[in-house]
Amino acid sequence: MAKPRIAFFDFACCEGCQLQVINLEAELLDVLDHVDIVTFREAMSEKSDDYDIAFIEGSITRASDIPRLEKIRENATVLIALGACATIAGVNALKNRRTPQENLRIVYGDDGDKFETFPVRPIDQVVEVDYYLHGCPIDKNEFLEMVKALLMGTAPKQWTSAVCVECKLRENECVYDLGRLCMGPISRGGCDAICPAYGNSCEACRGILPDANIPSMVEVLKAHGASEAEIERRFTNFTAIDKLVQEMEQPQ
Amino acid sequence: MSESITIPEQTLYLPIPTPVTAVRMLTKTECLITVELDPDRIEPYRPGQFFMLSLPGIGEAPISVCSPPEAYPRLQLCVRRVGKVTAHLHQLAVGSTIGIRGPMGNGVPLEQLKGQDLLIAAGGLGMVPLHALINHIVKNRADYGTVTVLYGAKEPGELLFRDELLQWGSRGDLNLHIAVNIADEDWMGHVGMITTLFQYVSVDVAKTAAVIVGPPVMYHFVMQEIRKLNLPPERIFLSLERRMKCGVGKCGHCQINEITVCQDGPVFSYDQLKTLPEAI
Amino acid sequence: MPASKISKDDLKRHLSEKLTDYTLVGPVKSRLAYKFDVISNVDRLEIEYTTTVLPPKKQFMPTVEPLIRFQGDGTAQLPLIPTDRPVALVALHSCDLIATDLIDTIFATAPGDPYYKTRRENAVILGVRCMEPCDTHAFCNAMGTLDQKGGADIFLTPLDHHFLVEPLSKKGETFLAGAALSHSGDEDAQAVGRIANERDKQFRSQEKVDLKALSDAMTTSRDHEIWDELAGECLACGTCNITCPTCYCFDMCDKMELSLVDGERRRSWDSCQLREFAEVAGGENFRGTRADRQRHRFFRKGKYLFDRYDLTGCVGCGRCVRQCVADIDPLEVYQRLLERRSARV
Ligand SMILES: Cc1cc2nc3c(=O)[nH]c(=O)nc-3n(C[C@H](O)[C@H](O)[C@H](O)COP(=O)(O)OP(=O)(O)OC[C@H]3O[C@@H](n4cnc5c(N)ncnc54)[C@H](O)[C@@H]3O)c2cc1C
Ligand code: SF4
Ligand code: SF4
Ligand code: SF4
Ligand code: SF4
Ligand code: SF4
Ligand code: FES
Repeated sequence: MAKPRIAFFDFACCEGCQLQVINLEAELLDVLDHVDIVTFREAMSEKSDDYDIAFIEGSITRASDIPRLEKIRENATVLIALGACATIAGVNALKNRRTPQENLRIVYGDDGDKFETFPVRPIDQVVEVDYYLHGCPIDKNEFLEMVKALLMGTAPKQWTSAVCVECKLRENECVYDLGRLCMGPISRGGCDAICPAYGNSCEACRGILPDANIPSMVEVLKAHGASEAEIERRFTNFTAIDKLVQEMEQPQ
Repeated sequence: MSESITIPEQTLYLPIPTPVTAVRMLTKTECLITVELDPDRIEPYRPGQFFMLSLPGIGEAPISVCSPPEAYPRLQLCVRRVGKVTAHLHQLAVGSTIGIRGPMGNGVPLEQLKGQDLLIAAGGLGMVPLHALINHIVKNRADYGTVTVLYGAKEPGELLFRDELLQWGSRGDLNLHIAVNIADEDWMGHVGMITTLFQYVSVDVAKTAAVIVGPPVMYHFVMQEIRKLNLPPERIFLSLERRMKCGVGKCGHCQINEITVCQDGPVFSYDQLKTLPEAI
Repeated sequence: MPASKISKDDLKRHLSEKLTDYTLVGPVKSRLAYKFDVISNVDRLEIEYTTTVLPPKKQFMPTVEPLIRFQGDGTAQLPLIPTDRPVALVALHSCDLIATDLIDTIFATAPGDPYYKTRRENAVILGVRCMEPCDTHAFCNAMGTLDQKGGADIFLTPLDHHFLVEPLSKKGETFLAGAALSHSGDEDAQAVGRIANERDKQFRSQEKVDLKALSDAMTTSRDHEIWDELAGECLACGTCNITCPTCYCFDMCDKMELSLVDGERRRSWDSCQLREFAEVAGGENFRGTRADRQRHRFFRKGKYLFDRYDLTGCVGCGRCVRQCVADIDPLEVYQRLLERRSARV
């Protein structure tokens, strides 16, 4: 059987997720026994349009991104959103709080007019996404699990449980008990609760779970002393779009 | 039936490697898989029981017994492609091996059905376990009174076991009624919900038992018709589907009230279900 | 049996000696909370502690464990559970002892779970009496588990400088062989009674939950407004299940190595509060709302397990409410359900 060909593409992002893939080092060599990587800007210079699996990193921020992404979708059999920018628009979505013009002025000053931009979108608002690899950055092991599943021709695990599940399975002490706030109860797991494991709050970098009880989460944050502004920040760090979508879907 | 083998606890979760001897597509989404069980390691099975089928790295799925007990140690399974495991089961080649655990569950109480008139109602994939039962009845026809089979499917293309349906229909000792919700150009039969077939049913309340298998929505409507027949609840049997992981009463996924469907079911009398509010 | 006791130092010494033959597991302190862990130096062991984050059940059923190993040649094998060294599980509180009894019953009910049973049979359990409420969340007294010895092999009662020692099984006696036990007189028993009296008054509720009445009340509470109220608060995070000593649900999934032919089928603790727990093919979900799932959880604690096994499904350890950020409290739920019942009767 011919080795599946994998390509990586990036849109607006820090390319940190691709770096996580390169950080796999030893395992990456084993992966290369099974697949060919044909396009990977971070690690190589050759490029090809002939690929089976496309990993897309980054959010969609300007009109010219759209045809490029559509072309990739056409070429790829399987398309995977890689990292928070691609899956939920991540930190980039913060930009949507201002108008495109304001953003251009802030970033590029008087040269703003020379650039194009529009409100940030996760890639599934432009093309159909087969699987999601969440996280800011992604988890190396989850990437490996995804590649293994694809090689076996089966659907990779898509997490539907909260960060708390993994947090408790690791027997972490809850960071609320350490006097910190945490979005873990309504955040998508899969990261092995890495932040709470080191005593830090979960910032929901993998997005808010569908069907999340947002009003009660707000109450919990309030009860633990969070101000309105603090709550707003917790909900918009990574998940501005998730929250918006859910609020539209289930008015409460 | 031969004496049962007691499965040692050590092998509770151990899939027994089992060779695939035939694979045949029945419809666009269902295929029939035939395997040869190892009689030293896997007990005889009954209609209404199920097996856990598995492939390394892909996972396990509960699948009903589709062949009659007489076929043992051969076993047939009819699988609808819906996800991970079932998609891989569809790709099996003759001569390959799958992992099997079971048989699991209680099965249809054949002893209780003996000597009775039978009303059998199958909705969609519910025909799979009932195929095992009907074939058992056909092979032991003298053990049962009048047998009526109602079978409802969404469209003609979804009807399972079409050749056998024809045979059953022409036997003369089985009353077979088929309904499809949506007909196509070639369909000459009845069109409507399975419930509309009850107009053809008349039962002798004193000696009739009913066996019903179908998706959850079907139970709701079919039970309305069944109740009109005034059959005693302890002679109405239904098979429940629940999410299952272990199949041996441990993982909790299939629990409703104090029972586990995988162990205490999946076949229940309507009598039992009345005390299980979550059941249907 | 003549009552005996051992000084706290001598018990430590004895446990330390036992390290040569036994793997010792007991509570140790991490930042704020306690956890059961393997002990190589008894100085780390905290026999007098407040309830751990996870229940000691993890000793017999690890949070994640392999059930089957797949090999490249296409065969599947059972993983080996080493039993060459017995495990001494030290300092289980009464609530956890009774929870262990419950899980023993379920996992030994035919067909028995071989992994659980192997580990369980390989263990000797030392229980310890609580001489004060572990915290303000506990309600073991209300559930009738306080002071119970369950399936402990040895039961210890801490006093100022001593532990009273009750061997309860052959395994327990073997473990105690060579320990510096001395006779304990009536004055010790009286001291225990006095302390226990004081202790009982410190629990947050003095009222006992009548288990039979609770189960009956639940039968008629399917449509109680409380389920929607709880659904409004619950975040479906799963913490209450994962931390509960009487929860035992698990998920099974395969994990392969990069060779794609070697790998494992594993089970991991699961939670019935998660949305997909009861979902089947076709998208049908038998408990699709948080209200349905909360009811299932509490019915399991207060009714299903009791009806089937005649054992309480909630031992009142308080772990769930202690760790639930939405503060959902089983005792309050039970009391609400019982209230309506008494109002009706
Ligand atoms: C007692 C019993 C008998 C069954 N008999 C048959 C049969 O004869 N033929 C047949 O085609 N199907 C049968 N099923 C249904 C079959 O088990 C599921 O379709 C199958 O498990 C889905 O697995 P998957 O890996 O392909 O799907 P997945 O990729 O895991 O998921 C696809 C969908 O299936 C659901 N699902 C996952 N696991 C299960 C599970 N264990 N039980 C039910 N749904 C699940 C998921 O929620 C999801 O909606 C039976 C189910 C039960 C409980
Ligand atoms: S630290 Fe966060 S993720 Fe962990 S249990 Fe607490 S709330 Fe949940
Ligand atoms: S704990 Fe939360 S913020 Fe941290 S990696 Fe996981 S999902 Fe992201
Ligand atoms: S711990 Fe609390 S919020 Fe989380 S699932 Fe349980 S009851 Fe709901
Ligand atoms: S329900 Fe809560 S209090 Fe009861 S046993 Fe479980 S964790 Fe303890
Ligand atoms: S709940 Fe009761 S028995 Fe359990 S640790 Fe606390 S005080 Fe002891
Ligand atoms: S499937 Fe595990 S308990 Fe029924």
